[in-house]
Amino acid sequence: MDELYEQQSEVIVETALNEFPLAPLPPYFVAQVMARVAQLPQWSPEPFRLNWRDGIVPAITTVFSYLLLTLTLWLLGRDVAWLPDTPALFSSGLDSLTTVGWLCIAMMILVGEIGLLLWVGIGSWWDHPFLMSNDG
Amino acid sequence: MYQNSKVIFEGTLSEERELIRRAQQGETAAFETLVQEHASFVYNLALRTLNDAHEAEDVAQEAFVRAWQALPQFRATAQFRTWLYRIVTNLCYNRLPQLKRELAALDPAEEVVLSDGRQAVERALLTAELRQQIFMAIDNLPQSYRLLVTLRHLQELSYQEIAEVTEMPLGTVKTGIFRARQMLQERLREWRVGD
Repeated sequence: MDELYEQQSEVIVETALNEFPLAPLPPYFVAQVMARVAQLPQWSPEPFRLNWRDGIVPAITTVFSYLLLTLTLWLLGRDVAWLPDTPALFSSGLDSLTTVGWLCIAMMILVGEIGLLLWVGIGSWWDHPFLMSNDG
Repeated sequence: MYQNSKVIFEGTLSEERELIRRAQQGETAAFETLVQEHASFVYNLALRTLNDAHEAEDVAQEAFVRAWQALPQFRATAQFRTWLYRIVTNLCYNRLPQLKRELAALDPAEEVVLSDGRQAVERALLTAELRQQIFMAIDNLPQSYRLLVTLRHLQELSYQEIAEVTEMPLGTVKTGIFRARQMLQERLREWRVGD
């Protein structure tokens, strides 16, 4: 009987909490807020300032381009004098890895870089949408 | 006297983001729409916590003014309403210094199992008198419990969101809401015995 009573109480309290009503807004509330806002000095969007993303994006892009170029040339079987022989450098250090294994690592780095670039790009857009839109 | 609608935002989330973006560019009309959409909940959060209509109006207005000033720093990845409620809660903390201490004093060590789901719960048919009794009991809860219960049931935030808004550990939030419910059940029992 007590248990049933407890369950009833729980349901009653839960129902009352969910039915707890909203009190009406005081008259002219929004107008008063906007009047106070109008009195404040008008700010402009934040001035451009370098942040950590401005450093990381060029760094990621550089490594990304370097890896892509190296992989492409390597896959095409061409030797370019001005580019370090990255596969050979890697192979000498990681003798136990097969060519396919090395390729997998490089591909994973590339995929990771693409993900990072997308993440940084989307993050920048959310942070400064006004810098990237033409309708404002 | 009261309205029962609990619509958080009448438009879609993308419409709200667009309004925030425009307001961040300094467009006051867009900010006014945001104020209209959130005013009722912001005011009610302050009212339930402070239990004083005049103070609540002042805090709610101040919250929107601060939101306008801080809008350039607002990250659109965060939820606008939880950001707004955090401003209100901080203003309430300033007005009631013991509020934060009361919340922090809640012992989160005890194991409290509360469902965070939005599944349909069993509902009771309440008489007008019973409903009024419980509403009065809610108004008479300690202020820390009122804040938690309001965020949970009026603003319909998850426990995690409440923890973020109040800057309290999740366990503290769950303990507070659990004890508030227990206290209301106790009041209900007393009222029935005395009836």
